[in-house]
Amino acid sequence: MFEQVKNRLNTMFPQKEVLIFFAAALVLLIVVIILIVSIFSARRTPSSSSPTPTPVTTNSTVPISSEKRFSVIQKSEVSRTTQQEIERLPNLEDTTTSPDGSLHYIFKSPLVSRKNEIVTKDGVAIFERILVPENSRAPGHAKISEFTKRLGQPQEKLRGSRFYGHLIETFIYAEGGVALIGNSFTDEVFEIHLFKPMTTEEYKRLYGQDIGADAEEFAM
Amino acid sequence: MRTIALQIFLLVFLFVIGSIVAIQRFFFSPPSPVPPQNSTQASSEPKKIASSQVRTIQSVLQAADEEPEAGSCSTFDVEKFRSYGFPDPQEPNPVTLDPEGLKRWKAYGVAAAVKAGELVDIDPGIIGYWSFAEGINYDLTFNVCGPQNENVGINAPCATNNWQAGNFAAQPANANNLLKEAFDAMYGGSDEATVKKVGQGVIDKVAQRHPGTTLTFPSSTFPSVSAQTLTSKFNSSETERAWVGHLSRDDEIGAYVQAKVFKATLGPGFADSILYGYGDKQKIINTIKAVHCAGLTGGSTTPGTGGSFGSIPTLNLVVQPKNPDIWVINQATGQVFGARGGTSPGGTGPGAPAGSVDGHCLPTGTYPSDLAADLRDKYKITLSGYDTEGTKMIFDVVTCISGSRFPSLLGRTTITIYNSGSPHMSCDVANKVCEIWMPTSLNAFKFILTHEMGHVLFYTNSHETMHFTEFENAWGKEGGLSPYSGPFKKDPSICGGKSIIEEDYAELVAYYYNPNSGGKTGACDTRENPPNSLFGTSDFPLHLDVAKAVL
Repeated sequence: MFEQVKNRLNTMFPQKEVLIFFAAALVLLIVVIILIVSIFSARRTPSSSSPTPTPVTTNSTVPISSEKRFSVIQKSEVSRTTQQEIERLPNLEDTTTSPDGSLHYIFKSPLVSRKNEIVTKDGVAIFERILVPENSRAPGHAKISEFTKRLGQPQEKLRGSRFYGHLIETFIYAEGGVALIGNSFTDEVFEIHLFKPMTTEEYKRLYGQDIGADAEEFAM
Repeated sequence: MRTIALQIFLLVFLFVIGSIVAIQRFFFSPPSPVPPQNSTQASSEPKKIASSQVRTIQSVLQAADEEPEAGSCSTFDVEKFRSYGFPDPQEPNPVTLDPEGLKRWKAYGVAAAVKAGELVDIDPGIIGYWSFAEGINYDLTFNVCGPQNENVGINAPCATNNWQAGNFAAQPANANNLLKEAFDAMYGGSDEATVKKVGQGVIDKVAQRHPGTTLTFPSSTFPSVSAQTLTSKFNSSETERAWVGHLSRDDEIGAYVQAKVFKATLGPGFADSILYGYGDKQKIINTIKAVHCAGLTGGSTTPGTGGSFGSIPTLNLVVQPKNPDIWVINQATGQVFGARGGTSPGGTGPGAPAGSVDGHCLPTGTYPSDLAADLRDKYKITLSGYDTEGTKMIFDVVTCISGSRFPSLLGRTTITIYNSGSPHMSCDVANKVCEIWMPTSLNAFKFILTHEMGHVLFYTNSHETMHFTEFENAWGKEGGLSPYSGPFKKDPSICGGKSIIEEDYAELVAYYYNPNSGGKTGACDTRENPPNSLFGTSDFPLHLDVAKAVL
C-alpha cells in the first residue's frame, strides 16, 4: 500500500519537484509566522504620533491590598504606603511642600497641564490622583459604570470641572475614600482620587479644587 | 507536473496572504474616514448661491460698516432682567458712558467680567455697571479711603476698610472675604507665587495704563504671600490691607468679587436692592444694558487691511441660566467672516477641508422639499422657530460638512436647535439629548453654529475619539487658538490670558470648518484683522493635526 502511494506520488511529482515544493512551503510557513508575530506586536506598540501613555507601574514595589486597589496603574495605598516607598517609584517629576507640611509628589502623565500626584503627610500617603488613560485598550482605562457596580451610587455628584469642562462631573464616595472625575455621557473616567475616608464636605475642601464654582448638586 | 506543483504552491500562497490581510483589516484597522465632500464634484448642476447666504453676507457687510451703538445688542436678555424687577431698557438707550471709561472697559474689563459671569452665573453687564454708576469709569488708580469719602489716590494708606478700589469698584473688605476663592476660581490657585504674580501685574498695569502714576505704597514690589495669609492679617495690618486693596484692582479678581457680591442679592428683588442713591430703576437698567452691550458687541473702528471691511464688529455672548437639571455651558465667540476670494484674511491653506462651511461649499442644486425632515432623519437635528430661510442656513452648514466625519461624531445624541436666546448649548445627560440656541440674527451665524456643534461633539464622544490627550498637548504647547479660548499663542496679555480647554476645542471645530473666517474674538482682542488661526497662520500645527485626525 505504502509503496503504491509512493509510486503514485513519484509519478505525479518527480523527486526534485517534491523537494522544491516542501522547501517553498517551509519558507512560506516561516513568512506567515513572521507576519502574524509582527501584526500582533504592532498592535501592542502605540503609534509614534500618539501621546506618550501613562507609564504602567504594575511592577512597582508598593504593595496594595486588593480591597484598596481601584486601578492597575494605582501607585500607592492611602494610610499605608510610606514616603520612602513613594520616593522609589519611577517617573517622579517634582516634589513640593505645602504650608501644612504635606509633601506633593508629582509624577509624569500624558497631559501637559495635569499630572499624576501622591500627597503624603507624617510619612504616609494621604491622597493619590490617578489620570486615567483615554485609550480604551490601555491598562487602567476605566468606566464610571464599573465603579458604580463596585461602590454603588456616589454620595454626591457635582457637575462642572474647571479643567475638563462645565459638563463634566465629580462623583464623590467620600466615606469610601474615592472620587472620580468623568463624563456621564460617555461613561468615561478621567481621574480617580483616593484619600482617607471623610465627609463629602471635607473632600470638597481638601481635594475638590477642580470642581467648578457653579457646580450644583444633582438630584440623586 | 512541475506546472501543477507550482500552481498549487501559488494558490496556497495567495490564499494565506489574502487571509492575513483580511484578518488584519477586519480586526485591527480603524474605520476608514468618509472622504470629504467636494462641492465641485457634488453636482453637475450650475452652482447657485442661496438667498440665505446672500443675506448673511449682506448683513455682515452692513454690520461691518456700522459702529454699534452702546446699548444696542442682541445678547441682552430683557426677560431675565424683568425677573429681577427692572423695567425694559429704553430704545434708543439715552445713557452715554464716559468715553475714556468705555475704552478701558472694552480693553481690560470685558473678558474678566464674562469669565466671572460664567463662573458665578451673572450677567457681565451687572458686574461692570457699578464702576460706571459710581463714576469710577474703570479707573485702576481710583481709591476712596477714609471719612472724607473721596478719591485719595492709589498710594494713600487707608486706616479703615471703608473704601473702594478702582476698576470694578470692589470694596476691599469684600475682596478680602473672597480673596482665596477668587484666586482659585480665576487663576486656579491662591499660593504665594500666583498671588505675587498677579499683584506685581497690578503694579505694572498702573504704570502701563496710567502713564505718570506709579504704585509705591506699601511698596513697588509685591511680596511673596498667599491669599490666606493676606486675609488673616487684613484687619490688623495696614500693609496687608493695602495689598488686598491692590489685588482687588486686578481685572480678574475685581470682576469675580463684584460678581459674587451682586449674585448674593440676585433675584426678584434685585432691582430694589441696588437702587441706593443712583437714580431710578429705569436709569439703572439703561446703564446695565449700555455696559453689557458696549462690552459684548462694541465694535472696533480699526480699518481692515485684507478684506472688504472698513471695521470689524466683534461679538461675545452671555451665559443664559437654564433649568438647573440641564447643563449649560459656555458661549460661542463672535467672528466675522472674511471676504470670499484670494485676498481673504482667512485661508485655504494646506489641509483645509474640501467640505467646509465658508468659501468652499456653496449650496448646489435644489433643496429637498422638506428640509426639516431631512435634517431630522439624516442627522437627528430638530429645528424650532426657524422660517424657511433660517432652516436653509442650518441645512447649508450641515450639508457642507456632511462629507467629513461630522455626521458620525454627532450621531450619539439628538439635537434641538432653537431660533432664540443667546448662542449657547446644553446637554441633558440622562436623556442623551443636546440643545443649541442659535438666533438667525447673528452676523456670524455659521461660524458660531459650528462652534456650538463643536461643544456637542466634545461632550458626546469619548476622549479617545476626540484625541483629547493630543489636543491637550497642542493646547499646552501652542496656547489657545483665539484669545477667547487662550491664552492665545500662550500670551496672557491678550484678553487676560483666558484658559478654557473646552472653548478651545469648539474653536478648533469652528476654524476647521470655516477656513476663510478670521476676525476678532472680543473687544479685548487688540489684534489687527486676525486671520483664521488654523489656515491663515502657521502658529498651530499641532492643533491642525488634531482637527485633521478627528474631523
